Amino acid sequence: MSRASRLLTFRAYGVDIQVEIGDPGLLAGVRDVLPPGAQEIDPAGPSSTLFALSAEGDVQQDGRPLATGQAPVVQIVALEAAIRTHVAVSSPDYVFVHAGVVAVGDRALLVPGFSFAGKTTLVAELVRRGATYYSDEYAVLDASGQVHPYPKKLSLRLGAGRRQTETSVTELGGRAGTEPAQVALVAVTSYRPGAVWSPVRLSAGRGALLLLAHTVPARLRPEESLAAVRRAADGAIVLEGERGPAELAAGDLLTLLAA
Amino acid sequence: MWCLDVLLLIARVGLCAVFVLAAVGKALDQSGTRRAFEQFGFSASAAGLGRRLLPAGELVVGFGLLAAPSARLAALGACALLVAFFVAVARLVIGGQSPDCHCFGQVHSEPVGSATLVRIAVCLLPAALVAVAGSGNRLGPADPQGVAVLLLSGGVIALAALVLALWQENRRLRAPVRAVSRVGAFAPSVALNALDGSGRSLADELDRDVPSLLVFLSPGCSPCRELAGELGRWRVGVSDRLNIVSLTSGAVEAQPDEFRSAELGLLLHESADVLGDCGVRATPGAVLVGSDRRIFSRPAEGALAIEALIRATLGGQTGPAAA
Repeated sequence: MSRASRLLTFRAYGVDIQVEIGDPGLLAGVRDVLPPGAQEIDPAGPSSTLFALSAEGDVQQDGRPLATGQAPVVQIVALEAAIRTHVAVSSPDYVFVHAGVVAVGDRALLVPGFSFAGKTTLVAELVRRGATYYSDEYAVLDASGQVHPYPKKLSLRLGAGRRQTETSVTELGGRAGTEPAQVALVAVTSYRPGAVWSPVRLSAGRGALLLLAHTVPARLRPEESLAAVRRAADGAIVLEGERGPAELAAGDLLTLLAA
Repeated sequence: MWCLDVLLLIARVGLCAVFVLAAVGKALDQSGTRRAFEQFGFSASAAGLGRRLLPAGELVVGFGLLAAPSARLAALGACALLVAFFVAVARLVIGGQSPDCHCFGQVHSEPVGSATLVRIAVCLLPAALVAVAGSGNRLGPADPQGVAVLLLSGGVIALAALVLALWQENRRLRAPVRAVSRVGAFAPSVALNALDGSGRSLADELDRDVPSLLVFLSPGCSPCRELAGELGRWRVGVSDRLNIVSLTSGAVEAQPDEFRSAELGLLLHESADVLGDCGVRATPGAVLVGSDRRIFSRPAEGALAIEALIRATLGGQTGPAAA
C-alpha cells in the first residue's frame, strides 16, 4: 500500500471487508456506496476480502482485476457492485435474493427481479403510497424465512433529464424498516409498456422456485438457499404477471398486503 | 583455499566468455563499432583504428584469462579496458548523452546509462580478483574437477537466469492490461449481419436519440457466455435510455446458444480491427458511443466493469449525457 492510500475496514451482514483507496479523493465516494448498515471495525482484526481502488482507475478484489483504467465515477460504481455481490454471496447469516421489498406493518411484499427490470420504480411507488421501505435490490432472508432491511438509496429516474439519481427513502416521503418482517406477498412482475396488471396466482412451491431463480448464493449454498426461500414463500400469496405503469399495480398490491 | 580456486576459475572462464563474445560481436559489425567510437567522442581516424584494435585486444584478454600463466596479466588488461570503458560511459552519462554502447556489437546493444556502469563494475570485481590473486593453484579449465566446477556453476547461472526471466514474465502477465482510450475518436464504419442473415451497418445501429453501448463478445469466451443472458435483460430494461449493441465475430454456426436470444439482438462483424479501433483489448468489453458515432468512454472490460459503465451512464455520470 502506498503512503498516500487509505484503508477502510468494515463489516456488513456478517462479512468483513477492507477497501484500499489509492486516491484519497475517492474516499468520500467510497463511503457513500458502502452497504447499508456497514460498520467500521478495527483494521487490525481478521479480515477476509480486500478490494483496492488504484489511482490509475483500477478495481481489484484480492489482487484479481475487476476493472482497469476507468474514470473515477465508473470505478466507484464498479466497487459498489463488487462489494454488494460479495456481501450477497458471502453473508454467513443470510440468504440474499434479488428483489425489491416493502412492508406494511410486519407483512412484507417481495418483488423478485434482475437488475434494470423495473423493481425500483414499483418499490418507490409503493413507498410513496405509505409502505415501509426495505430494499430495491435485495431481500435479505434469515433461516426462518423472515426478510431483513437492506435500505440502500433508491436509483430513480428523476428530473427533467430523467437521469437515474440515488435517492434516499426520506426524500420520497417514506421511511425505512428496521425490524424483520414476514413475507406475505410475492409479486413476480416486470414492466412492459401497455401491459395491463392482471396477475395469476401461483402455488407457494412455485413461488419458492421463482425466488430461488433470483437467489444469489443458490449455487454455492443450495440447501440453505432452498430452505430460506421455501420458508419465505410458505403461506405467502404468490402472483405473477406483467405490469404497465407502476401506479396501477401498486394500489392492488398494497390492498393485498394490508388485508 | 579450494573455494578461492573455484572462484578464480569461474571468474576467469566467465570473463573470457564476456570478452570473446564482445570481440566477436564487434568484429562482425565493424561499421557499427566505428560509429560507436565516434559517438563516444573519438575522431574518425581513431575510430577506424579502434574498430580493429579493440576486438583484437578483447580476444587477447579473453584467451589470456584461460591459460594459467597469462591469467594475471590478462586480468590486469581486462581491468584496464573496463576502467577505460567505465570512464568513457560515465562521462557521457554525466553529460546527459546516451548513445548505443555497442558493447557486444551485433549480438546485443543498448543505450548507455547508469545500468551500463553497474554492469561494468560487476565485471570489474572478478577481473580485479584474478589480477590480485592470480590464476589459482589447484584448478584449471581442463582439469576434471575444473570442468565439473564450470558445468555446475554454468548450470546455476543458467537456472538463475531462467528464474529471473520467468519472474519478469510473471510480473508482466500479472500487471493490469491497460486498454487504449479512444475517447473522442469515431467508432469504425463496419458492416454487420444479424443472426438471420439480414445486413445493416454500425452507423445505422448508432443512429439513435440515446447513447449506445457497443458490447464486444466472442464465441469462445466463457465470461461472454455468462454475461450474455444478463446483457439481453439489461438491453430490454434500459432500451429507452441506452441502446445496447451486442457484437461478435465468427460465423453464425459458431455462436453458442447463449448468444442466440432475441433479447440480446446479436450482430456479427467481419472486421478484425473493430475492437482495436474502439480501444477494446479483451472480451467481454464495451465502449459508450454517441449518436454522432464518437466514442465517449474508456473501454470497460469484464462483466462488472460493463455493468458499472451502464449504471454510471444511466446516472448521467459519464457518456454523452454527462457532456
